[in-house]
Amino acid sequence: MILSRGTKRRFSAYLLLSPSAATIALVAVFPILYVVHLSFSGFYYGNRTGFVGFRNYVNILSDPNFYSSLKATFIFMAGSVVGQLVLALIFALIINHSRRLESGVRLVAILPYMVSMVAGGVTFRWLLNTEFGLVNSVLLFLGITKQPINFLGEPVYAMASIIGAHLWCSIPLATLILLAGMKSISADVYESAEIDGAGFFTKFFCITVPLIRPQILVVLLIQTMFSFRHFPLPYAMTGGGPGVSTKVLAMLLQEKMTFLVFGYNSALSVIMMLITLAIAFFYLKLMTAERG
Amino acid sequence: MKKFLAVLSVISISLSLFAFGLEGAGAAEKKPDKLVLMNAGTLSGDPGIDFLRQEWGKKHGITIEVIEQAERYLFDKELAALSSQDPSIDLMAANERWVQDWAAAGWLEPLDDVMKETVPHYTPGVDVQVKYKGRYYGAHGGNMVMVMYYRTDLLKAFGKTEPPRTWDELIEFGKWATKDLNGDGTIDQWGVVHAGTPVTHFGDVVSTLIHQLGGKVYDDNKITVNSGAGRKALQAIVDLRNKHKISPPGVNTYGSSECLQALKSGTAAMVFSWTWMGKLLNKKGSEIKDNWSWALLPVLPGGKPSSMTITTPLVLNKASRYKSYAKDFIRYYTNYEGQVTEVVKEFGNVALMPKVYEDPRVKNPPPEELEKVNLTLEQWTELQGRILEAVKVVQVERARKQGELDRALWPEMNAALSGIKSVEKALADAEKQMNRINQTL
Repeated sequence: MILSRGTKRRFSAYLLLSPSAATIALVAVFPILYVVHLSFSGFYYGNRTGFVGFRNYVNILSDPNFYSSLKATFIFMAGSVVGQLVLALIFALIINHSRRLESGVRLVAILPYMVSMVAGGVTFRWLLNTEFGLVNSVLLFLGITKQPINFLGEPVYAMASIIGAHLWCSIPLATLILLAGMKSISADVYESAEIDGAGFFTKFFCITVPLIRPQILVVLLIQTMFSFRHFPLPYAMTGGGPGVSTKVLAMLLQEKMTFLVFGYNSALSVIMMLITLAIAFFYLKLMTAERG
Repeated sequence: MKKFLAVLSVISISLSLFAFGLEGAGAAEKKPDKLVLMNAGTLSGDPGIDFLRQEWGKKHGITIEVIEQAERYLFDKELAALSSQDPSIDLMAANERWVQDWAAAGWLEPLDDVMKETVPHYTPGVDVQVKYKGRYYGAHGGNMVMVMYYRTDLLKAFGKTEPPRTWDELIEFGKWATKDLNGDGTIDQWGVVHAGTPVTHFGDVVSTLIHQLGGKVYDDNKITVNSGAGRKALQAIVDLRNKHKISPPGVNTYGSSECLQALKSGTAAMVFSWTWMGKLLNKKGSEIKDNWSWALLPVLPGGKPSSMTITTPLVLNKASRYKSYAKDFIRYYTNYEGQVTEVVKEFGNVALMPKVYEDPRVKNPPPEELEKVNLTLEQWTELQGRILEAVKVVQVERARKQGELDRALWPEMNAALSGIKSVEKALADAEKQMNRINQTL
């Protein structure tokens, strides 16, 4: 059989792609499909007992824990993403403007990213302890508060503390992405604006922000997905408390995994994946529109 | 020929019996060079089991290799080994809450012959958690009991010599002890401290009080926590923080390490916790050296004394290739003699056999053991005597999926302690969730 040149080219292209495609299928697609398969299965102490249809999904959707965890997850995600964007923008601006200090500041800014989140979480737990914590000691010493604040024992403070710790850990990455965007803006644009009498805020909102929109969208996409699936800080700092006010979905997932409730667990994983996909789809749409 | 065969048979049988005698319990198995034990935490923190594994090893010429597993990851690691039928780990220090479920899954070897020697010495009823369908699957070791640590110097200053025995006495002493010592407007010495987070043993403190009142929590999966006793017990402990204000506001975030910190730093007059902290309180860095003791938790009105125990029972992996040797070590560690050694070698660890505390070796431990924990013989005698009081009134309950049930119960109790929910609502919600879990059995 004689193949045309075009067919041969296509064939060799597919041949060259096939190892990567097979690897992706093996390490990414197969586990996902397997989890979907497990989500329709019943289990007895980790052993699959058979097909149970949508029972696991019904269990989740009728479980009040799911809704309280979903609520905690969305609050955590919203606080983290907004906080990260605002603070990362500020840090990126500062670093971008302090050229002499740039390399030093960049190193310091990236340091928290090098710390394990669990270690960071345990450290924050002690720092924020009501009776023994350094933060309360400082606040009392400075006279900012009259009584220690129960940072991890009041629902609103606990969530704010976890978001704060998450910002500390994750802002460096967002800062670096935004900084890269800012670096790509030509100085000529700012000079022209200055000649036209533009001040700092005008330059920031009319030049910097529009020109780094792609980077902002990347930060939003990454941080939204990461925050949605976040586990270590609530686990290490509050254990989900007080009550279940900081028990995010990833903690519920871990708990069910621990107790071998694999059907519930797999179905919850699928639900979380669908929500993450929806978030990613939304941002990718925005990015495509941006490019268009 | 017949004669020859008969002689050969006799010789074979004799040799077999001789070999059986040599090999003892391990007759059907090849003698291993080593057994592998997964331990809960480091061996340096478990001198009792460390000593006994070495002694047993010398006696049998078998090394017991230990995997020192951080407690946080113990469950996951052991679960992975058991569920995959991995024979490389023979013995595991587990948790009393897991034994029934692992036995139900068919991953554990029964230990009836080991337990039949020890159970008759036990305080009645304490063996239920390691029993499943009438058979034993775990043997108690590394036990601790729930006690109230208290400051003897503060008690003396309060004008008493005996610790609070009733709840009213506890509140009275707690109110007196809750003080702003340096006059800066904030309290820096609290009356009562206990674990209060949704992920640690806060539930065990409340369960102890429920048991005082004759109530139950799990009762073989007949969930009864939302009972009169349950509500009264939880309300009593919630009131310490929210009504009497003798527990610190942050107590709802406290785990074991915060309780220890409160004790060692001298910022608590009384702490409800397990006995493991005792070995650290007379050591360097402790502000309360020689000024502490422990006793049973004070009794709620209408109740009677009670305590709880937590253990790290040894379980035998069904996939182990050296079951009889492993079982022999379990027997060696958990029988009367083993428990005497454990109590002497590891202060704060508890034998669930009251008789052990009458043993002269426990009553008069070697001086080096007293030195290790900086205790005088008088202090040792008083503290072990109080442990015996607790051992005699230990009450435990069992339930399948107990770990999962706890994870449903504890956050609700924490919500009540944090003032997010009323005691009634918290326990009603907990019971609903626990019954949901029971439906999956």
